[in-house]
Amino acid sequence: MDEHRPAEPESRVAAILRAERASTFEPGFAWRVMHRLRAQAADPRAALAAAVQRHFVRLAPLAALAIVVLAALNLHAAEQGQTVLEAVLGLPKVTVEQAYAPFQLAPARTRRTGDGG
Amino acid sequence: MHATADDELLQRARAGDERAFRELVDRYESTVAGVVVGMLGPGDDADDVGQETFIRFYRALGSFRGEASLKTYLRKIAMNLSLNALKRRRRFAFRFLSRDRSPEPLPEPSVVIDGEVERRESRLRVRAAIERLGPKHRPVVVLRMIDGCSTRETAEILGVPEGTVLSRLSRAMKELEADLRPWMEMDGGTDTQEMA
Repeated sequence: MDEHRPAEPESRVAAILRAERASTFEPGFAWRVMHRLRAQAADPRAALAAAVQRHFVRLAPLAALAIVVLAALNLHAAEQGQTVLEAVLGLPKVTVEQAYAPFQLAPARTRRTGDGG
Repeated sequence: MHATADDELLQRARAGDERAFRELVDRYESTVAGVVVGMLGPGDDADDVGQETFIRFYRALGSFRGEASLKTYLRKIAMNLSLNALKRRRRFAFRFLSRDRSPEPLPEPSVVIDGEVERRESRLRVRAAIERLGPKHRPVVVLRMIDGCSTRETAEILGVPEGTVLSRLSRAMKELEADLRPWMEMDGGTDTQEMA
């Protein structure tokens, strides 16, 4: 008889799979979610992490751009022998020898005394 | 039909009403559980990913415009987090478990099985078969066959064309069929003996 004939394997598998569906988590799930939300809101580090995560899509290209610009500036500085910051501020080029040379103190000025006039 | 419309609850939750958000969690727990437990199996891991799904949703309340239905949106978050959890599991297994260790063999089909024992054994077998599916096939089976999503919704959640969903589903069902056939034949044989 047709009704006693076993179903096709695939449709049996489908029926078994449908019966597998979980409808809930362990009891108290909503409470656990709310508790975790409050705990995260109270923790500034978690809030910062959440903010970074939220804005990652916007921050990532900016960070990548900054990395590329800094790398280009570094290369340029290596070729020129002077960093961009030094060039902008007009700082003189200092060699290692100059940096480690003993300070040359200016000769002390003799104080003029009033009685000599 | 829900007493309060989702839109109203969403508006209240955006304004900081915790009770409204909790109502949404209660309302959509089943939706998220279907995806997460289907992907990861029952347990603490699934509970954790379920909680994280709602926390991500809470943070994204401001950007949720309602282009997709709330169910689809939550399923998408749940699926992404479940896939991440599966990757973590695989990395852990790769690092800490022996590579040549074969998976735990399932118990031989018992001759005398009835009621709860039979259901439990059935669940274990199906779970093990689902876990043997690859990372591309498992989500399709979970969404399309276990959760009952349409092909279009499954495609939208996974971000693949509908044709890909259908081909992956076909292959996955063949794998499952091959995996579960010995057990189903044994089960069918028992039924026939009982009927006789």
